[in-house]
Amino acid sequence: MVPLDALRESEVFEGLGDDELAMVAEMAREETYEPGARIFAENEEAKDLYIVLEGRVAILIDVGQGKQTVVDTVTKNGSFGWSAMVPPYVYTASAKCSERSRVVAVSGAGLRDLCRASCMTCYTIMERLAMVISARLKDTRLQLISLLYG
Amino acid sequence: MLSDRERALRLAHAIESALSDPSSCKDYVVSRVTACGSCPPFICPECGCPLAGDAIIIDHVRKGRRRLSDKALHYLGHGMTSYQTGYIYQGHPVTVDLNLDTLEAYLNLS
Repeated sequence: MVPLDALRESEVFEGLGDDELAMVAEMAREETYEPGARIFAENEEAKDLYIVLEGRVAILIDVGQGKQTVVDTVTKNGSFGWSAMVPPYVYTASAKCSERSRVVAVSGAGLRDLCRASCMTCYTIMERLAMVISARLKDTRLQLISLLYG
Repeated sequence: MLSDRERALRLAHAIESALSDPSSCKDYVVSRVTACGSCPPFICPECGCPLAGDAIIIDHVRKGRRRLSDKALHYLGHGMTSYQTGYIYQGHPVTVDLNLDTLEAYLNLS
């Protein structure tokens, strides 16, 4: 089982109490990826929400003609793969390790079940998740401006 | 040397005291966030007390924020440090073991 403290320090789960964290830990697993490894690709079914324990994970979007551009880099305690919590549960970007990375993968289906069980838990998770999505939107917008105007 | 049961009871007392008389605390503030009234309450199997799902927030000036469920506080009040959360995952009940050392540090009891 993933240590509760690792979850407690993450940007998405830091507001949860031990009860909820114990439940999240049950549905989580630790994974290690080598540099350059792809964790998931844009348009794949979004099954898991990820938290970085160690390393750096680049978030990339397809820009056409087989090219991708980095819109964000996620580091320790940061999260990615929020699409696992939002319909239609399809990743809107790809995730690729910039260096050797240890991550926690949390089942999106499990998290959604947890959210259905308690409004308070759901509110806490979704509020944090909205902050992540908002930051990702801002970073993507900056990247777009950079692409358009150099 | 206190037993785990005594430590749990002491923690529960400290949290309840801080909630009822905030001026009694030094270095930390304890507050309660009321849960949604529409969610079904959790019934304590020990005493039958309904627990709405409130959150107990401990804000310590140096250690930061720690959040507990009303369940955790209630079970501490029974002298218990391990309990079933009421959640079931893949057919198995999820249990939680409260870390007394950590909680005591947040309440200046260590």
